[in-house]
Amino acid sequence: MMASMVGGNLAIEHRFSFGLGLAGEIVYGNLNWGHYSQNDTSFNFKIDYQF
Amino acid sequence: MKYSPLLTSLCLIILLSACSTNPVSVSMSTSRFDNPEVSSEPLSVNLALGSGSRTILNIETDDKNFSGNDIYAFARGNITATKGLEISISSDVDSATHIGIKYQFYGAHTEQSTKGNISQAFTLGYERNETNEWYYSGGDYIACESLYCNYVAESGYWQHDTDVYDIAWVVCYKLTDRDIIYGGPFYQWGQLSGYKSTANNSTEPLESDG
Repeated sequence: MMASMVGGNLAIEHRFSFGLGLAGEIVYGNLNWGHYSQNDTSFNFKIDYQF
Repeated sequence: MKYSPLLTSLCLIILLSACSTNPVSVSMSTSRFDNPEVSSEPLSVNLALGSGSRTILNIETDDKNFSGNDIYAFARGNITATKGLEISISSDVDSATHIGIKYQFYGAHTEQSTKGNISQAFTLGYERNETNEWYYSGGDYIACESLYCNYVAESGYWQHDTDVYDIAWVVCYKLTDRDIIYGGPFYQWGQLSGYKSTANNSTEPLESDG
């Protein structure tokens, strides 16, 4: 059965001179599956290294 | 073996606790982190760890059901195939695997970008997720108008498979040489399918109307 989600995100990222990066993100989405529908806002976090 | 009934009861309690009320649900990832600035050099590697969210949609009516977001740890690796084209693969502890490509079509690339740069990219992705869970609907006493009560409980198993495609447009603005803000709209679509089996051996497909 078909499902879909539409939304948008906004993230901010800082990268240190030695390659490490830190990022935070807010995402808003609307998930639909048949008769069901739900809106949600979520917060995500990431740490990464750029080789 | 006078402790056998006690041990059996203890094991049952632990088992039922582990299989606490777990409503049938489907979920889709809401972790993005697609920076539109892509390296101009091939084979540039980026590895990441983080906490991401999944929007959970319960498909059974139950006052105890949890709706909203759940947080999962994820690992992700990106590598540039050629100038401005990046391939990524990520996985989270909910067993979802996501493969994506990103192409930067506007703005300076990572190595050349400076404060004030604006870049744009589009992404395409595919996510595969298989979720399965034993559930226990809990028990309740009904018809307790007399001394005799009927104890009703249900246990079973459900599984669903998610195949989702993802497209997004992302725009960024470089605040400083080391800080960047980015985002944009996204759309995910795909198939969610599965089945539910109950203790009386009936198996039924998961439908959007429960």
